Amino acid sequence: MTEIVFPQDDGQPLTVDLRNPYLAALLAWLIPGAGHFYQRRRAKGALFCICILGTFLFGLGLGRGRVVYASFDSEDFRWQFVPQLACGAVSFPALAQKIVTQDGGDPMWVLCERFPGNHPNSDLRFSKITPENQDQKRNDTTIKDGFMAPPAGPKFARGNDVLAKWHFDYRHDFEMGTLFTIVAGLLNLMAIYDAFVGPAILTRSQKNRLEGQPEGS
Amino acid sequence: MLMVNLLGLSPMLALVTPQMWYAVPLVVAVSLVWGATRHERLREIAGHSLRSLFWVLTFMMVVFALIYISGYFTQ
Repeated sequence: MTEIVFPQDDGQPLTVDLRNPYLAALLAWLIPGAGHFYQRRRAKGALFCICILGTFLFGLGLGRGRVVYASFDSEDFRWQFVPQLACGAVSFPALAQKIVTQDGGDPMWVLCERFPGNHPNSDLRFSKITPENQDQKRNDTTIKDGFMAPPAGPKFARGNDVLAKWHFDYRHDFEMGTLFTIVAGLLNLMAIYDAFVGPAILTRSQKNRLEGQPEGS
Repeated sequence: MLMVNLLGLSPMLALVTPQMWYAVPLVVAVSLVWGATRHERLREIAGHSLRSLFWVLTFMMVVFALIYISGYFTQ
């Protein structure tokens, strides 16, 4: 058990019981706010949970479930997944999808199907198959978009592929979704730190020192 | 007074560029989490968050206004 006492301006010292800080940090990473619930800091736990999970899920929704995926190929190195992974368990489906699809397998939780990249009609290549255009299917070979799965099919650093289609179809929502999920991950890093060492409270003397005023003023 | 003017200006800027609305939930979440890592009591968290919210919005609006005005000179 780790207990920290913060001297307060009103004279009432504030005691924060961090319990087992290592376990709290692990829980805080797995589920935002869970570490604080374990430490019985329920109000802050609820605040972190709502703000961080809300931001992450809002971003995921903006990106139609496609902005969080694990891909480390040279053509599509998704560095954004590293901060997104800081949100913990909510980003784990992306790891599962990476394992399932890395040998060319179909993803779990298919969101839609697309025409293959070698379709005779160049306008339909990598486009979504809809009831209006499904008669253009030449065979059963399709590209499948999966929830939190990396873009399937051939990848090109410059040129049309599934990732380019995602950007084209969802426009700024794709960028915003990526941004929201990255920020949620970075915010959870702060929450993990708070669960591990407690809040970064400044006492009056520390404030004075920072502001260059003499102690006790 | 400055805060009132900036808050009055923000919907106007958001009308000019609707994508600006995406910033609102993001800034609110960042301010609340930032405030919560600096305090333990909810009242102090709320006060710190409001101050952070004000400064972040101020900074964003100043940058937005500078970029928006500079657009008139590059046309």
